[in-house]
This record gives sequence, structure tokens and C-alpha cells, in this order.
Amino acid sequence: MLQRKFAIDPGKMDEEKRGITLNIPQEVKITFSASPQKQQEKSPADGSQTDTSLSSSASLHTATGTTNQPTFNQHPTINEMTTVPPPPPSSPLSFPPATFQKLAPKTFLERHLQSTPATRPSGRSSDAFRKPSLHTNSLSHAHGSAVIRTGDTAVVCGVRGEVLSLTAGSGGRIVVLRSGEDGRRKDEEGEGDEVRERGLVVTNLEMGTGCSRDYHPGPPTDFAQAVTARLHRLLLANKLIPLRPLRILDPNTEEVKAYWVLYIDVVVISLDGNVLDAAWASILAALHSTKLPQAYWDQDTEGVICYPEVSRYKPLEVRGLAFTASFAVIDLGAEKGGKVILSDPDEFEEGVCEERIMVCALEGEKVGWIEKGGGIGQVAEVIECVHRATERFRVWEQLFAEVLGSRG
Amino acid sequence: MAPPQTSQQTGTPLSPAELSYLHTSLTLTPPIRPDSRTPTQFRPLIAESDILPSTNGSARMIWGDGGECVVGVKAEVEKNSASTGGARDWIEISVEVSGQRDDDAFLGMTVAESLLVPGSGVLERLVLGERFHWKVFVDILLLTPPLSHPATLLTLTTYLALRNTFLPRLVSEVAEDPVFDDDWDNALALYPIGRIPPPITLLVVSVGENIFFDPTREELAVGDVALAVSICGKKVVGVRTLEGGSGGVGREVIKRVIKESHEVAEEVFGSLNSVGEGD
Amino acid sequence: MTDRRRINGPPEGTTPLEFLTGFTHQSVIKRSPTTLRKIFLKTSLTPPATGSAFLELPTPSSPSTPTLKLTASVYGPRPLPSATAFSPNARLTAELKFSPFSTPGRRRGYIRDGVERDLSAQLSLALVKSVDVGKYPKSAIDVFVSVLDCEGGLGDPGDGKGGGGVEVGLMGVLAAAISCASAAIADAGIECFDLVAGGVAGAMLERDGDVEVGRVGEGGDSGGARPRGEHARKVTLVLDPSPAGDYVILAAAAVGYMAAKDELTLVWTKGSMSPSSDGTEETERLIDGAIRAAIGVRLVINEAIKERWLLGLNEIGLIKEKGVGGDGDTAMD
Repeated sequence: MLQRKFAIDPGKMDEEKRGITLNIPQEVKITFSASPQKQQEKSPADGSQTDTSLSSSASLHTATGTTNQPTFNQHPTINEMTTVPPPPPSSPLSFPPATFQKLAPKTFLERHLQSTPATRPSGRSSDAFRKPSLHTNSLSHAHGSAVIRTGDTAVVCGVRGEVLSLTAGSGGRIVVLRSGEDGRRKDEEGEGDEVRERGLVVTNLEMGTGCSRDYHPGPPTDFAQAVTARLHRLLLANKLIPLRPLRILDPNTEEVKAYWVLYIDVVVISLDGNVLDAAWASILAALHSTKLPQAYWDQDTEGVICYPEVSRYKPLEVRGLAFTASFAVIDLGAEKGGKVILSDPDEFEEGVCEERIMVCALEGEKVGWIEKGGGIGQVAEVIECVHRATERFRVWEQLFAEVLGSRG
Repeated sequence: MAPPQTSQQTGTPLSPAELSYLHTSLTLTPPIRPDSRTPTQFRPLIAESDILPSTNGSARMIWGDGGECVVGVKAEVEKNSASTGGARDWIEISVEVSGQRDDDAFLGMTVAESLLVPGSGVLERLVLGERFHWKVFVDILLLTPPLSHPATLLTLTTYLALRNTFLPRLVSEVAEDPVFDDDWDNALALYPIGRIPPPITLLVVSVGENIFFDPTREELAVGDVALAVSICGKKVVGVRTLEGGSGGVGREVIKRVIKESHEVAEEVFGSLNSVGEGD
Repeated sequence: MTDRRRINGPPEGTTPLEFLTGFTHQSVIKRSPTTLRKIFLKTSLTPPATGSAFLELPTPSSPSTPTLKLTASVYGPRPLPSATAFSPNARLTAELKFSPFSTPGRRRGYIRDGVERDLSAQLSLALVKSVDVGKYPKSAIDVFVSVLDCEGGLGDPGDGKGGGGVEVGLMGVLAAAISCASAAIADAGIECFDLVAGGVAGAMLERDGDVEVGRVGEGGDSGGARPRGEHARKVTLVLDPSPAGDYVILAAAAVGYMAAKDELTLVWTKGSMSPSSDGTEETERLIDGAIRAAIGVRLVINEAIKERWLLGLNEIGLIKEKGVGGDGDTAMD
């Protein structure tokens, strides 16, 4: 440590050891995550004996096929590493897979999917989703929060309640709604509209956090705005948030004096494709873990006062579960295997495939929402996606049951 | 000593060779500054106070290199709010640099931090009975940004303006709505003589063994470290690092800078106060 | 002006919660004044970034006790856009942003405010002096720090801390951001002269309960205005003060410190300890205290980077050991 300069640069170290010129530092990055994608990306460093011998793109899929053998998740043994010297490049036109991936992304993906068994660059099969993980209530200033990680995509969602007072400057917008027996049926029907019209749920997605190379701080990009709008629409369409707990009543007259407004903010920490599924699951988990303080309308101050005791916080009664599943479709051509549906696409696959399908599955094998665009497909394609989405629903459901307990 | 590097932020037009020459001449004993000032000497400046009749206090300062700053202080009566924000909001500071879209965060924070330092006693003088208080708006307008860092120019002008700020005398009882004496001659100073005066911030740059006050842009570029030292009354109340210099500096250098700034500040206060009396 | 690119709340505006009694601060874990809190620091948690790190203070026993969580990611060195002028050194920019749900009281806005811009500027200042920018001409290095959760004490209205004392929350956030970002820069494999660790120290005024005639005499504040008891109270130097604690911090210092070179890259002090003295001696003691705190933090950064490095070596098969490092959770004395 006492030397004047030091650098922690594993890439550099490899360079000295093996005499390979490494131009792009991120390609030799070694990460903690054992994700196959990264294993492959660092292959110029560790698997150079295979990579440098690739003389043409045609031989690529066999080469990558070998790295995608079932052993891909294990660390290379020392024998392999030390005894096999890197053979000299056989042809001046040879690329390591990472370079090939950058130069011809579509061909790269197609070659992977044509190998047997068909494997995606990440090592997953075409219908495999990434394994999710969930933590809730890890933020101290949010009323509910959740962290979701699927592969290399990680998002944090925080829900915070604020008070919308109907008397303060709302003028003619005061609408008196009774919450008595008579009004109940009407409420159940119209409450989605009331949540929407009052703007009681505010969903936002923040991607300018350094989560990926392509998004920078500043106003949200078109993509971020589009995802935000989809999340917001799904939340309202599925009627997951009940209206009743959001109302704050006058204790004497039972009049609605104020509302809770839920600010739902999703912060993307790390982005590797399919931000919608992760963000949606984090919103749902955060809502399920949300506890709002007990509040009452105080006539003296004409304001809403909350009880500070944590024991008097009440959970938000979120109605049921709904989970989205996103798919990307690639057409390999009629003679090469037709269309392939990729579940839970990562950033690279999203960049290559234009056709997208999103299914929002509900409890009891119901479907709440289907989106399809970017190309023309058979109905069977969508039906296949619905099947996969119901499978995925069970995975999420089990995870939520484990983390959130009996609730939900 | 590390060779000087061209600082991106300061953007001096000097070549590496010129910067190296400057660095060497500043490290000599005694040092030679390009404008032949002594290390503690400030550049000449023009200062005047009470220039804006519609404010409670104002000042203008023109720096030798063309920098010009105007500060106006306005006070309004505001009802105490129920929120727990406290007296911190009672003084609002805005720094506007002409030609810049955003207000300058660093300058604003430096001024606010030193102005609101606990124990300066100024917030207590803003209390008007039980339910009201003065809300003071300090608007700092940098008409022509100086070639060097504007922190010193800005805080010296603010000091002058605040020193000359007067608030009407309260004649009503504590529980009543506030009523004021309409005779300006009876108005009370926001910073009365004998109390802790407003803070100033001095810019100091350290080159080798030497310490320079009021550095020019070129001197900032070759310095090892540039510090903004805020002094309120006779106390050092804040230190911040500025852009400039390459690499870190030993803690002894920083301590020496703080100590010297404190000594120089006394002289600065003296000359600033004479501006007020001269009018 | 409404932000049309985001979903906004009700047009009438909403108010933060008001509680029946004043905001009660949860009791914080008792420590001796020179004990630092444990830090959890782990690198490479944002795989798309060139380098990244996550820093967290240990999860407190009660979930509502505030803690500090932040992530840093580093991109680069990448070529500067062709429109920019030639630069012989790498340009390092740092952006620090509080998440909307990260602070007590009012929600934070989406657009960077003055506090965030100020912290960003100080962060880039503290980091740039540790990076060997001369090695990367014509390139840019971007550092992003997102604060997910913080302890408060930011000087915001509604923060729950009334008058008296300076707010150390921002200093704590800045110091943690420096340490975390420096680990992320090392994780990115960018050449540095040294690592920077952030440290904070504060001069704590004890509460009225324990009246002791302390070292600092009964200084008559000439303003006569300090909102404090009539008794002289003991002032202690605390390393790594928590803004959530039930005490008043009279003065505080934050430093960015390069331990191997014994050099400072950033100094930020505010407040004054005693009304009688000139404040220079106190400021010096605070800076020394903050350096001691930074040395403790540095050990954690070393461990986190060593752990990641060993794992990397293990992965490519250069060393055999299976059990490398811990979980990055390193205790400090």
C-alpha cells in the first residue's frame, strides 16, 4: 500500500500473465455474480485457448456451445487453465465471442439458438426465466419497500404515503362520498375511477442512477417514460389498491376529508433487460409490505394528524397478486427452426429482438392484460406465452409467500 | 513536489511550461506573485454600501479584474409556521450568476452554512413577538463574474450589505400583531456593533511552503490545494475544499492555512468596517 | 410548472405527515465516542457498470431506525465526445442523487436540488485527486451515487431536529459516498494513486441530563443567543456521529483521506465548538478526528477490494483457495 501508485486491475494482470492484448477493459471484468452471461464475457481472459482459435463465425456456435456445456457455471479447473497454452491465432480474421457479439448481434443470437440444445448466450434455455430474489422493508423512511433482483437486473421500490386534504384549496372539487352500507356497492365499482381521478397513486421509475451505460441522470428517457406509463396503467387496471384504506374520514360525520396518496418510486440499481417484470414485482411486494400510520381528521387544526406509534400502523389491504411476464420473439427463418420465444429477455436480447409480448397473469390462472407488438405472430405464440406466464406466476407466488408470510 | 497540471475546471490559457514557471516562482522564498502582491495582499477593489434605497440593506463591490457583485437584503414579516422547520428558513439566500442558468450550489451553500452557524445570534434578532418573525431575503447578484473564483467577492459584498441592514423597530406587545415604528432613524441594525458580525469567506491557496490569499485564476490552477475558509467574528466556522490542484495535501498544510486565514481575517474585517463608516 | 415527463401527484398538492406528538427519535446503539459503526461494503453489485460498490451501515434492530444505504457505479474510461475540446487528463464527473423515499420528512424531488449539486461537486473533487487522470487522456470517467436510505439530519424542514447545532447528516452521506465511490473506481480497474476514505467527526454537546462542568468553560456568547441551557456542558469529540442521536453537534468535519499517502483530498468543516476560543484549534482537532474515522473506514475498503480481487483470481484459477474473504462485513475497533 505504500507504493506511490497502485491499481487494482485484474484485466491488467491477465495481460501480463498471458500476453493477450486487451483493449476493452469491461470485457475482462470479473464479477461476483455467477451468471453465465458474465462467464462468457470474460472468456477472453480465461478461455482464451478456445476463443482465439475461432477462425470464422461458422465455427462460433460450436465453440460457444462448448462453453455452454453444463459445466459452465463452475470455475475452470486449474489443470485446464495452466496446462493448455493459448494456441496462436490461426487466421487474422478471428474474433473472441464478445467482439462477435458486438459486431453482429443478431447472427450471434441466432447461432446460439441453432445449437443443440438451443441455448441463449446467457446459458438459459429459451423458456427459462431468471431466478428472482426478494427482500422487503429494508428502507427506514418508506412506508413499504422491496428489493427485487432477477439475474443482473436489480430494482428498489419505496412506497410513501402523503396526505391530500380536500379542504385545502381544492375549491369546487370536493366530492362527498359516503362509506356507509348503502354506498358500498357503488364504491366497489367506481373506486378504480376515484383512485385514478384523484391521482391517489403516483408511480415513477428512475433509471438515471448509473444502472446501465445507456441511461444518464436527468429527465427520464422515452423508454423510462414508457415503462412508467405501463406500470401505472397495470396498477390501476388490475384494481389492486383498495380505496377504503386510502380515505381519511371525519370521525363525527363520516365524511371523507382527506385521502392518502401513495407515491410509488422504483429506482433501478442495475439493468440487464426486462425492467418491467422486476419493477412490477417490486411495486407489488412494496405495496404488500406497506403499513400506513393511523390517521384522523382533526377539526381544530383542519388537518390530518397521525399517531406516531408503530403498533397502530395498519397494513394496506392489497387485493391479491398479479405478475407480468415479458417475452421477446426472434424469427430464425423457416428452414432454421422458425420463431423462438425467449422468456425474460436480457439487455442484449431486447436489443436484437423487435417482437415483444407481455402477459399479466392473475390468480386462478386468469389473465389480466396482454400486450403484443413489434411484429406479426401466430395466435399460438401468444397462447404459449400465456402458459409460460402462468408458470412464472407460481414462481413469484411462492417467493412472495416465503418472504411476506401468510399475507398476500 | 508534484509538477503542476493544467486544471480543467479553471481553464487557464497558460501552457504547461508557463504554469510550471508560475509554480516555481510561487514556491520561492520569498515567493513572487505575477502581479507582485505580497502573499496576504488583496487585489484593489471598490466597495460601497446603501446603494439600493428600496432594500433594507445593500452593497456593491467591484473587483480589480472586472468582477462586480450587488447584494440586496429585504425583510418581510412572516407568521410562525407550525412545521418543525424552525428558524433555519428565516434567512433565504439566492445566488444568481449572470449567464448561468442554475444558481450556483456551492456558493449558496457556503454563504448559507456560515450565515446560519449556531451561536451567531442573528436568528434571535428576527423574532417578532410570539407569533411572527422577520423573513430575510438575501439576493446576491454576480453581475460580472470575476476571472478568479467568486467566493471572496461574494461574501465580502454580502458582509457589507448585512452590516448595513436595518429593520424597523417593533412597538407592539409580544402577543399582538406586529406594529412598527415608522421612523427609520430608530430602526435596529440586523448586526449591531459589538455583536458577532456577519461571516466572510476567504479564498486561500497553498503552493509548496507558501500560502496566498485572494488568488488569481492562474494561481488557483497551480496550487496544491485551494480552501475557502469562513470566519464569523473571531472564529473559524467552516472550511471547504475548492477545485484546483492535483493530488491530496498533508494535514499540516491545511491546518496552517486555517491558522493564517484566521489572522488575515482580522485585517479584512477592519478594512471592511471602515467602508461602512466612510459613507 | 408541472413535469410532463413524470407522473405527478394530485394537482392540489399533498402534505407530509403530521404526527400527534413530536417526532420521537429512536434510541441509537450506544457506542463510545471513538467507536465507529460497522460498515458493510461490497463491490460489483451492478454488473452492467465498469465498477460498482454498495455501502450500508448495519441493519438496526428496529426496522424504523434510520440507516444509510447507497450504491455507486462507475463507467469509463470512455472516449470524450468528439465535440469536446482536447483534454490531456481524464475528466471525472460525479453525480449524487437522493432517491425520493430516502429522506425523512418531505419526499425528495426528482430534479437535482442545490444540496445534491453541492454534494456532487464535493464528491468529484474528493475522488479526482486520487485517480491517475494523466493516464487517461481524452477520456471521461462517470461516477453515479444513489442514496437509497439515509439517517436524516440534512437540514431540511420537517427533519425533526430543531435549532441548535449543525446537521451532520449531509457530511455522513458525503463521507460514505466517497468511500463507496472510491471502492467502485478500484473495482472498475481505473488506476489510482491511492484509495480515498471518507470520515466524519463531530463535537458533541451532551444533553441537559448530565450536567458537568466541562473542559470548555462557561463562555459568554456575546450574542447571548445560543439556545442552550445555562449550565456549561461537556463537549466531547465523537467519531462517526449519527445524526439520529439525541444530542447536539456543535461543529463537525468531514474529510476525504488517502491513508497510504497520508494526504487529504477534501476538507469540509462547519460550526464552531466554543465561543471563547478562535476556533482554529478545534477545527484542527475535528479534522484529526475525521482522519481517524477515515482510517477505520479505509480498512473496510481494503477488505472489500481484497475480497473481490481474490474471488476474481480464484475464478480464473490462479489461486486454489475456496474460502476467500468474508462477506465484506468488516468490524472496526
